[in-house]
Amino acid sequence: MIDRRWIGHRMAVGSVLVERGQIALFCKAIGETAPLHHDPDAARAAGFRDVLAPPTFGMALEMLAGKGDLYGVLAEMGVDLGRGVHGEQGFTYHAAICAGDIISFEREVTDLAEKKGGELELITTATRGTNQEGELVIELHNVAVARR
Amino acid sequence: MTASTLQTARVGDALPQLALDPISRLTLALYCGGSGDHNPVHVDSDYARAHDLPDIFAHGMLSMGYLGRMLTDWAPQSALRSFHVRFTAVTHVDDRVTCTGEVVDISETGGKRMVRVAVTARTEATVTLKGEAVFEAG
Repeated sequence: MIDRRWIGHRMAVGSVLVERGQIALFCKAIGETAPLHHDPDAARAAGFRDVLAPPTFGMALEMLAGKGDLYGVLAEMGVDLGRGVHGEQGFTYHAAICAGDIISFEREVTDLAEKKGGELELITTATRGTNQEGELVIELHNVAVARR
Repeated sequence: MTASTLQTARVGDALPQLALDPISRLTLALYCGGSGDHNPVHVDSDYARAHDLPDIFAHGMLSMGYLGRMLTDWAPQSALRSFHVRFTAVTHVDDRVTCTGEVVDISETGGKRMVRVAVTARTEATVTLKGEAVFEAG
């Protein structure tokens, strides 16, 4: 069982520059071809600062921010990543994320729970992302399921 | 998708379905690079076997990305306020994912028209993701 002292654990995940090339690679992987995500002129014509990050890219940014990454934290908790799966993921959107933005993330472990008599552990984390203007742009909600 | 999609949406409306090609190992490699999720279980079959798995499997988030495409093909991303899914089954290499959505609720809250969409991703075998997205009609 994961030590409940981890509940409330907060970590500054780090900051990451949102890059056109990274958005393009992500879009290639998921088959997203819309000009808003590839063409800065099209994005600006639609009122965005630069190419727009697609809806699930916020999690990629969180992974890319590096420090205090979720896998590292899970490993510290004793979770074997080879035996872990993603249980839930949620996003709450407050403002657009565009190439050129710098997003800073802070994460907190908000809950630990057991299921199936301790065979499964559920680790819930909440992450807030703010941009270079100090604006809250995104919140992420993640439940990781660890198998003993 | 038009600017008035959210204004004219009605409960029960189905979003246009998104059907994907079978997931290839190349797709998983690209998704590892694009998403920053380098968990070897998604690309390294030696690692998978060492952890008693028959093979690598797809990131659940890849299918959430597919659901995101379906949502933004239907209504403007600038109107999207939230998007949440539960991962209910693993997606495997060669699986064909199909994404569907349906408007399940429309409400007026504080002068804002909120459109709630239930979304599902499936492979031929099973439902893999279930969730919801909420748009704010402008």
